[in-house]
Amino acid sequence: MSTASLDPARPVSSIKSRLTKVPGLWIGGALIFAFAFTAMFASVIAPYSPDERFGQNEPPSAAHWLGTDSNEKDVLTRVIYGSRLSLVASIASISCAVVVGVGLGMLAGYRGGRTDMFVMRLIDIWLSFPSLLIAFLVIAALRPGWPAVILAVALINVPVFVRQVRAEMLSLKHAAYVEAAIAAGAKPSYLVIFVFLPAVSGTIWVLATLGLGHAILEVAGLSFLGIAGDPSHAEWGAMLVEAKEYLHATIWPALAPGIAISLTILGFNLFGDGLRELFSRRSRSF
Amino acid sequence: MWGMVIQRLAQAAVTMLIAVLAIFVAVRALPANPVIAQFGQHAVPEKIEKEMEARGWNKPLWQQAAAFLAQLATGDMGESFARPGERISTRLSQAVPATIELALAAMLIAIPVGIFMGTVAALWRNSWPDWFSMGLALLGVSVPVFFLAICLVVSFPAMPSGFRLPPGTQHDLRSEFYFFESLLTGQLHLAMLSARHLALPAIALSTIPLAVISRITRNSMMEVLDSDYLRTARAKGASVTRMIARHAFPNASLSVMNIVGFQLGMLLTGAILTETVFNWPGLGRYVIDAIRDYDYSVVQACALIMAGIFVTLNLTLDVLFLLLDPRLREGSRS
Amino acid sequence: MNGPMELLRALKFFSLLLGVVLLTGCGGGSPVATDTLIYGRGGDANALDPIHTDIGESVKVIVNIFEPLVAYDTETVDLVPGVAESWETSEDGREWTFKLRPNVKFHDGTPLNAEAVVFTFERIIDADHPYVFNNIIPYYASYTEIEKVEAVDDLTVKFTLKQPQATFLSAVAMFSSGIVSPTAVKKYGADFTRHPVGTGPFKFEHWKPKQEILMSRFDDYWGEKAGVARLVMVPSEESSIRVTQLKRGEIHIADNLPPAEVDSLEKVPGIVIQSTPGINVGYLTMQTRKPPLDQPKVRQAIAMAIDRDRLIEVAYAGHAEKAKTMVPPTLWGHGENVPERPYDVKKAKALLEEAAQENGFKLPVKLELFVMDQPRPYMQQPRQTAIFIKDALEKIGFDIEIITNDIGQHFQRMTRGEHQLGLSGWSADIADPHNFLHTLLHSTNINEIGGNNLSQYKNEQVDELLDAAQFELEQDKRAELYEKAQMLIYEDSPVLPLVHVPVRIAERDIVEGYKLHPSSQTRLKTAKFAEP
Repeated sequence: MSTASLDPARPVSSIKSRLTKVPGLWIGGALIFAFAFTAMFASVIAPYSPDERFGQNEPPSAAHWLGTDSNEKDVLTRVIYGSRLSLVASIASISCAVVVGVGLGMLAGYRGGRTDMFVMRLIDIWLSFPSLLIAFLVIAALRPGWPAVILAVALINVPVFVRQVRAEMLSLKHAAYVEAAIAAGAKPSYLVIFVFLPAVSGTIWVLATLGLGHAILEVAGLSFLGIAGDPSHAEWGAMLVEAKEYLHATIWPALAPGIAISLTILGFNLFGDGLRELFSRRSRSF
Repeated sequence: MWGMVIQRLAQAAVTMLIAVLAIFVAVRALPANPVIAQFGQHAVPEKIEKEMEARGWNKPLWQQAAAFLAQLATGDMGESFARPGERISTRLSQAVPATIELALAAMLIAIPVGIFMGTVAALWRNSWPDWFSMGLALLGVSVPVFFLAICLVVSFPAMPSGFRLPPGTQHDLRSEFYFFESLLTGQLHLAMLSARHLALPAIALSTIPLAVISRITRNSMMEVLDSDYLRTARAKGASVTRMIARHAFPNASLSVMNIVGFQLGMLLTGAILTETVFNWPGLGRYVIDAIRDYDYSVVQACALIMAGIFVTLNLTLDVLFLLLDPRLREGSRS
Repeated sequence: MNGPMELLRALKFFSLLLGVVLLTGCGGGSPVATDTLIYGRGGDANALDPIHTDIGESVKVIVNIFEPLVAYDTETVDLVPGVAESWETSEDGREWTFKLRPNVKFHDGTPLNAEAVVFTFERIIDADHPYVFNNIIPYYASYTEIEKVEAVDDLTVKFTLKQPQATFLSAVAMFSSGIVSPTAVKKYGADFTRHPVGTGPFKFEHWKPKQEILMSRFDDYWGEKAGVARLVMVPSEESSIRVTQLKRGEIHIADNLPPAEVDSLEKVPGIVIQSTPGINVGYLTMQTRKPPLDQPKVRQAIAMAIDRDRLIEVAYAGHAEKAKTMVPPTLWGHGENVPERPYDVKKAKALLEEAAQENGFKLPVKLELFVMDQPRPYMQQPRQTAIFIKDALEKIGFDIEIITNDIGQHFQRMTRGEHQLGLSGWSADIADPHNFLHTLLHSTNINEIGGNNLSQYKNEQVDELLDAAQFELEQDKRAELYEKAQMLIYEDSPVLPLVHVPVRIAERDIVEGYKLHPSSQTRLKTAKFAEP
């Protein structure tokens, strides 16, 4: 029914023209693509195996473009392999956050009343602590390792989704077509799958994209504080924390993962912003 | 309106209480025994048992919680677990000022630069100044603060890279607000020293609020600049500066203020990484070290303070908005 | 349009302002007096009452403020008179009489006498002492053999032991029995730990947690007075920042630096490096009660698969001694005749396969390797070490997962035996092999709460030998017993001794006279600034 309100005179090609007006989408998309590509084909791209040992803290050379680190391993190889853990950890944790966050947000927004009150107070309490404190406690309570890190990062990303989805639900609940569906006796499961989810999907995509960036940052931050998983796995934050001990000997092992994290997060931020702009333009044109 | 404020206040108090109890239970659920941890590699079983008893650690959870709340009710934060004899309130009175000075310094950078960049971007939208300042803002939220901190230390070799004052500095400041106090009492040399020590951590900490502020400023400025009355004013030949100062800025300030308040809350409670890299003896480092040392009484107290800061800031913002925004005031009256 | 121009001007002004804030004061003179020695270290103290701490960062302060009856020589681990001038033992070795130095004063003016010594020791051994406000007394076990302490006259103290103990004098020399001022303890009560008062060369001034601990020269010190007027200990957690601060002269001495950084500092003009062999051991514990590590063959295979010479290159930048046994070679009782363990990947692999066939487990075997998150003196780079061991063991048929825990949880979980492999180590409390072998490998030290026999190793023969050595008073006979025990331990290999790590610090060359002590006690009395 929403398509009916589209201006029939508007040519389809304008979507393309609108796309070109959001350069962030393209730059961000390219960065994300590069990141995902690297992660998937790390074993093909990387010059060496991630566990091969060469010499300690060697400067960049023809054999090692970015030199070697304090574990005698090739920095470039480790950075390339590092994208894997970042990708897996961020997607896993944000997926969990989306499932829980969207669920809670819908519940609160749809049911309203006490449920809403309860969920929102919970979120308030959640938000009143710094996220690292929560992550610390979660990891300390569980067995330290990557699963604990993923869970912790998922938990600190939940509130954003709850708040946004709930806010949208509040206005959505009173939209004419939703009221009509409810009056027609639609079951809650039908409403969720065919009405609510499609309506909030735009927001979820934007938030999830931005969240992926945050998740990478948070995983790296936890590694940096020394409370992440197995340190022998290539991970950017862990590489940074090791390299920072040797800043006076060689700077490459710190610089390379630092730049890699920054570029990846920049990619997600640009893409997320671009998405948001695209969606808001579309909604404006309706 | 006051009814609403009181209601919010009550809500805030309940939120804080539950938050602190949640932390209270959470630290006790951790699989390590804090008393054993204090003995390091030299644990003495009989002494440990005695100490557990002395601290009430082997009592049921609800009794411990009741004792804790009773102690809080008398305004006593208690004593540190891991640092025998240390009053938590004393340490907080040192850590909180350090954090406040750092957060304010970061805001002092973020607000003017952010507003300036946002305004520039709004004026020259979709051209290079816009690209440039928005790109910079995005970079600000993308570069991990610990990486930035390392880069700053390496690239400013002349700047102090830690501490609040040079070690061993002799001074007679009474409070831990080194910068403010020395400035107010006219000890300019000391104020300058403490400002220099503030500079790098403040820059590292300012990037995120700076980015957020500049983007909010840009968006709300654009909305105002697009409005009909400003188009008219422009057509009549009003100067751009005047237009921004008189119309656009006051209109945008509300949303900027909102975000400044929120970001300040984040800085006050969440500067853990920056404080770690720069050796800043603030609240964030206090709580992280306390978790590492199994200093649970400190973790609880810090959680209370952090939740307090967060709730107070939210409340202040709510009230400020009620006072400043006529639309909301009308809404609450009806 | 003049708007943009105005904005540009504003921009200029702002950048100027920023520049001023960043740069002013760069050339300004520092207010720090030249007679203030600044010591940068990796963390802050937790308590300054000698009995209530075992944390190295506290000890560094305590040894400058307090003095025990008997002290270590400036450069060796020989025991020399401290505030006690002389001492003698009774025939049966149960009675020790100490003659105190006259005219020794505490920082608060109280004279040091027999009463003060009795008070100090009673605070440790008396479970219900009225002036002890906390049960955290980590070194309690070192003094449990004392039956009573009495003041014979004003300057004579007599200790009576439950049974003769070879390590008694070493225990008395520990920092934890530094003599405290009874008047100060009574005055400050529980707060004594923030207001320490002893007889040492430095007087406590103030402690700003996480910022600095300030001490000043004690002018009424009985011996040669301190070389600097003020001593500041600052915690600077990031080692790279500590290096930067040392290079810029913001601090004068930096300790606990990564070995490769120390090497690079050696080349910096104005900075000198000091090094002395430490009395410590870094080792790999193998939980002998968990299969497949209950098989000596598996443990031997692990021991053979790790190239410790390379490990020392990678994780210690070459600055460590390969360990043959748990007792460091700087200490008497080091097992000279214990064979060198060969590095032999082929043999290790064969051994492991053999063990797998005999016991019916499949390769690769999954094992967890526990590692702490912060450096220790004996384990300067725990992560690098763990990664090295993982890479080595995966070559012979193990599948290793490294589990990082913070230091508190690391040791708690290992005393509970939750690990399979784990990095651990020991720095000597007292310079006696008993402190290494009994503490780390005697079966009475298998204990959920604080037992340091992390490998849960139990060999009755070894237990007997160690018990005999503890109560034997003649050093030659003791050395023989310890040697035998070390041979047995070598064969069972419940632990793989990895390294003995030297103590190294970097200091500005204007600091003179400070000599590192192998016990890593930082007594800074002799440090002074060079004449300009």
